[in-house]
Amino acid sequence: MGSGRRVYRVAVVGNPNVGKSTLFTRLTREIAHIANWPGTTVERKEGVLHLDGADVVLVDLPGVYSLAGVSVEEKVARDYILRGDWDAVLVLVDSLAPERTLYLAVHVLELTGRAVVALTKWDAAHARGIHVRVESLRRALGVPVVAVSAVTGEGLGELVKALREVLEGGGGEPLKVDYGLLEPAIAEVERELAGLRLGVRAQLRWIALKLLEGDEDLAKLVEGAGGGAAVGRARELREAVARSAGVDPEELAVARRFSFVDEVSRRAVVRARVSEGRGTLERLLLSPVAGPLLSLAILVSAYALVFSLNTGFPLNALLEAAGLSEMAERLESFTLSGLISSFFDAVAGYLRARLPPSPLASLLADGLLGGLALVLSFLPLILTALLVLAFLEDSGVGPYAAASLHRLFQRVGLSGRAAYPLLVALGCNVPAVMASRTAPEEAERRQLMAAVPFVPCQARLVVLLAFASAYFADSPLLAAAAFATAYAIALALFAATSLAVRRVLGAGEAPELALELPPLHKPSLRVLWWISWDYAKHYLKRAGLVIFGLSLVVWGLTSYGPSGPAEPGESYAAMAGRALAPLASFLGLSGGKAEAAVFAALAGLVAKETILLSLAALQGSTDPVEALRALELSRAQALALAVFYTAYMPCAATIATIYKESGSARFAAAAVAWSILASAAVSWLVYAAASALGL
Amino acid sequence: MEVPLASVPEGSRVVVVSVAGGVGARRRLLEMGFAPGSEVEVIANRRGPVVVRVRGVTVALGRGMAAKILVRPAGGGGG
Repeated sequence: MGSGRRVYRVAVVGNPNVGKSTLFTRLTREIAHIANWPGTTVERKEGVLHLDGADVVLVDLPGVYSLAGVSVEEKVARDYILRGDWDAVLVLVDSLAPERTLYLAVHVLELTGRAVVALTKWDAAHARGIHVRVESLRRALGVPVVAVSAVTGEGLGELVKALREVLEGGGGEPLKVDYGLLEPAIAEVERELAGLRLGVRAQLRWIALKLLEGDEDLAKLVEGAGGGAAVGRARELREAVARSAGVDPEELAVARRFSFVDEVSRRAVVRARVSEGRGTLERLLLSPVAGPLLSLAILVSAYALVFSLNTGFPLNALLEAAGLSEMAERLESFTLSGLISSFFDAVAGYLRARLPPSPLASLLADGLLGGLALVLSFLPLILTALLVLAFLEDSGVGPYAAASLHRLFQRVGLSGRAAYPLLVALGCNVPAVMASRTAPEEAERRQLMAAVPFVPCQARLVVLLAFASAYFADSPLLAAAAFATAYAIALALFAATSLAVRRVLGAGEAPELALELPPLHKPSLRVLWWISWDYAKHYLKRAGLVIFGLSLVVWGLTSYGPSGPAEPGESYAAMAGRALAPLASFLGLSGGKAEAAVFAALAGLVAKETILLSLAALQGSTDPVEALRALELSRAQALALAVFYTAYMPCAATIATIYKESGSARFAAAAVAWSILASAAVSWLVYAAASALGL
Repeated sequence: MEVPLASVPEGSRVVVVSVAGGVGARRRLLEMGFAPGSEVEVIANRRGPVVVRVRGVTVALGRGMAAKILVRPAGGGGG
């Protein structure tokens, strides 16, 4: 069965914001495979399209402006087009901005005629009075052109048909652009290249042109194939052209490609309205004072929505402050995390009641189930955070906010795009680390991944609140000051880490911004759901396994001792706490206080919530605030310890996510080591300063 | 009369003359549509990024980036 089915591979390529994810998801429904492109953290997605008699695998290439190979994404896209096993290329052109997005299409079509061009956002183009003459484009480009709308589904059937025709019938010749002044040089380098075995799917003309444009990667490839002479000649001609024309060949080539695009557009594109009016929201978002404020307001409310839905925070804190603690509690138990944890509590309770007490029962009820509960309790949080992220991005609000906050973030070595991860981190560090992938450059991603764990997530907020009510309750002013100190220190550590990582990576000045602001529009909910569910599955499969494993390890360490199953106080973790207790001496802690503090820090690795629980368990109490008071710390010690607990180390889930997102165990380990060192140093400073102030 | 894009007042229409800068940044700007000859409309240019419209797309450019793009007034002959 099915032995007669042919499998074709189609490379899908388009500019950022061209609507690629939307169309991709719409065409394939199910994304078959997610991995990273070899040697990069750029994601590789494939989706399968079942046709009768054939399967078409769509390979989603990263969103790029060209195949120049400047960024990692461009290298990935170019390598696949040059060397990949594709049978055809699907190029997406934005029908809202054909004058810009046709550039990539021309660039690709110069390489192969086995291609189909899809004009995306056809519905929106109509609404904006932009008309593209499909037939005229088809004639100019020499390949099938299909207008599609992923929102309405218009043209999708026709697109599949066109793809199939190219796949089964073969395409036309590559496009020929007139490079004017460069033509004689191209011909000459082409002659030098003749006879070389380069192993790439490009005509010699294309390679000659790239060499003249100064493409270093291709130069290396050609030299490796024995084409040193061609590379040398190309270099000479480059200089000769630059001297005689006063422009370098790279700029000349890009300009010629754009003038080809202009010629095509003049015939094929009609804009009924010359200039688009900007909406009030766009204007507000771009104004120098209101813009950043409005952006912050939008991001903060998006974040408040996500976290209230999941964990009740910050709505519960507001209710609490208003003296409605009962309502706050009820809210918490009906949040998604609350529902999941009560479900797992019930199952664990049932198992404990039915099974005779044994190590196996404990493993099942506490270890395995606990691990599973931890993984799943993050899922709704991540899913909704991703949903909001996708909404901000796809509606166009995100890019506007990033532009208006850019100046602020530049001071800490980041670009405006860092606003979202930073805000998400206030709720939970895990999706924040994942959101770092929106940063356009690798250095900035790493900065964010290392810095984000210093932002107090809501689990740590709970710890801070407990410290405040245990030691500063008598003076609201002092409590507020302690609180503000902890948050200010956390943000300072975030900023310092970001700047330090940028320095270490040698990435130079703050990242510059060249960000497209797509028109604000209402995104399709279905598409948002598909995209975020896709990433959430990704989380479950990859980070989920690591979180599950780590939580099993921590369970083992806290429920076993040298003589088998043990109470927490006798467990390996408690022993480690005792052995490491001297480390707490820098805060003036010793004996039982030090052991408790270190034990809680170790237990907090699995999830920061555990810090309070384990302190309470050690003291044989159920009230964490009581347990904290029983430690009889000085206020200086309490403040310093609170600061330490806030910053000391990312939790297991965050570490796992940093590892997965960076693809580097070394980087994750370095981030953890740095957070331990930095938090120890800062909390010691706080202790010293607070002691000096007589607290 | 060539000036950097960063110094062009809001509401002006200009034409790109040339793009300076490091290899990567320059190529990126060229291919985002700031190729010589492309018309650019400046939408916002106060504090923060310069926001322009080029080839049917709105783009926010950090001031450093915008300083690398040399432009001349549109329409009139220019430099």
